Amino acid sequence: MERLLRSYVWALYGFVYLPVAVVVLFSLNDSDLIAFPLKGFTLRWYDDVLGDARLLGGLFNTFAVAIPVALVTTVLGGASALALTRHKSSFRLVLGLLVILPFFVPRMILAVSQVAFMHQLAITKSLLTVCIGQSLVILPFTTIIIASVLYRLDPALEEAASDLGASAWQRFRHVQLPLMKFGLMAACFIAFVLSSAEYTVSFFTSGRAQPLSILVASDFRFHLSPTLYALASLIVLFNIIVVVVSELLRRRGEGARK
Amino acid sequence: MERSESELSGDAGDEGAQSPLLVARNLTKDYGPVRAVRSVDFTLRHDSFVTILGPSGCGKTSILRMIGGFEAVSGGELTLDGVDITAVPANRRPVNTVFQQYALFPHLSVRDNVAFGLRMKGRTAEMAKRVDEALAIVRMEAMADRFPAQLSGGQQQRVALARAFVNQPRLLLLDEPLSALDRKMRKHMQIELKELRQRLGMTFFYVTHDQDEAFALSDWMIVMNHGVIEQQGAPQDIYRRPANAYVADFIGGANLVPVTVMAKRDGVAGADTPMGRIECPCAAGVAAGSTAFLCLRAEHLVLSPAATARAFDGVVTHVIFQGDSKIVEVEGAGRRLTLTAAGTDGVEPGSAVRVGFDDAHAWIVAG
Repeated sequence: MERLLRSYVWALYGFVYLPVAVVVLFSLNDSDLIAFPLKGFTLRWYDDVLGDARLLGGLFNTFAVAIPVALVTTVLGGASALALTRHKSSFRLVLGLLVILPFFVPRMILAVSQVAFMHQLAITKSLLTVCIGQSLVILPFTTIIIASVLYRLDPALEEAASDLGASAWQRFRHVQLPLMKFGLMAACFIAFVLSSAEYTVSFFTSGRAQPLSILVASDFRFHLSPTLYALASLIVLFNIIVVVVSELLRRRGEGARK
Repeated sequence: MERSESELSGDAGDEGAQSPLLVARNLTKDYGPVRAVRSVDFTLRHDSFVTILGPSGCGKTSILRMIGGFEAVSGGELTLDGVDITAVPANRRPVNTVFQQYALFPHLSVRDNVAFGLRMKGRTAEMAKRVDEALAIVRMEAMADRFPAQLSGGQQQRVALARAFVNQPRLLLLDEPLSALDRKMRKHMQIELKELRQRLGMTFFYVTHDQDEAFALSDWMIVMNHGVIEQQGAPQDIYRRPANAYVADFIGGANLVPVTVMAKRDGVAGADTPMGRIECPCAAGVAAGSTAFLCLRAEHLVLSPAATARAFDGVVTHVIFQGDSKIVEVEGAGRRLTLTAAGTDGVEPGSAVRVGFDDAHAWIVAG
């Protein structure tokens, strides 16, 4: 039984990560063909990526979207998490459901409805519309991450702050904010990763300037080359670093609360 | 409400002993349909140690939280130094609280925890000096740069105290502050608390469910049950003259024997008891012709009594060793009675004994 479980776990990890490993492998293979046998080691595909103005433009667009989206969804997520965990209103359940709902609606439907809505308002599609569209689908994630941190804070800490003369703003500034700091940072990183990897909403809401995910998807369909594999490897590496850093931050936050 | 700056040693004495510090009138708390506090009245004097004692769920913590401003008052009013504070938010009340689990800020050092209140009120000029004084009083100067997670329970307790009293509140609220400590530490902290209060000259309002703690600490006790005050008074009075059977039973150590009251005059009742007719002082609610309880304290029942005492025969059912004394349970006069006795060699379960008491120590309460 033990062995069966262990092999199942390894099979699962293999299923998830082997394709990624194959991508990394071919990104280092000295051949135009994405096929075995391997020819030799090279870094020229990475060199190509870094010299490709179109891809670099896409990368720039991705950052131009991901940074504001991460900041906006962290601030809004923090605010909604505070409202959900701290306000004793009967309206709270409705509010919570409304924040979480986009989670359960297919992205495609959200994206199409956004495009239709923007069309009605005569808003031209641009990176701004991508930002707005992505923020909506990423907000539930940041809200849940920050709310999970706030939910575990002892409410007596805020009472103690009031007791010691802190106004609502001082309570937020000197107690809630420092204690949710690591939750906010973790949410910000996750939002950044989600934004940079987002495809569906970006595809429908982007105009002429297209983020990297759109470029990569169309290249995979129309002219597959090891350059793309190098790019994909870089993205994976970058995302792993971001997720690890955010998890370390979140744990440090837990540690501060012993 | 702002108080002039003064030394930590307090200045409650010059407020005039007649005017009370805090008055609660018809104080009521409802949680939805549940009435947790039922229109209670009490008064706190300056420079006193008041405990509010009751089982969990009796409403004692709700009262503390209403005084602290953490729970809205459902009915009645609270007056502090003659000012109605019923609707004043927690952060503008001259009251500070020591929370049950301390609620120290985990992201701040001991020093910054203690400085928090002064910093919030912008009193930074005097802050360093007063924080140092407060830490010295609780003997935590050496720990000033540590964080709460690095302290033991007793140390956290002392920081929580310093964080509250450094603000020189008119009233210090303590919500079962010793319940998380072990027995030895608790005894030690009781003495420290009592000394600290005398030194500061502040009024402490102390919530507890522990009878011994209440008797050990207070100048004034409020005994609660089911949202009402059963009795309030000096600890000695509550111990000697409990107002009713509930209080007598809750404060512990009392044997309650059902009796029929035959006559009552001038606070003295005559009652038919299983030990014969007894005349002794009684509580207010006792009426002639009613059933009441004879209250006999464990330490007033003696084995092998003198010939003059009222006595009856019994059989020992249990003996509990307590170090310097024993708790002996005796079946006699149709009841199981508990008594404490020292040097009772030879008393074992099953042995026949004669139990006696002095009528002067008896007390009758209504049911």
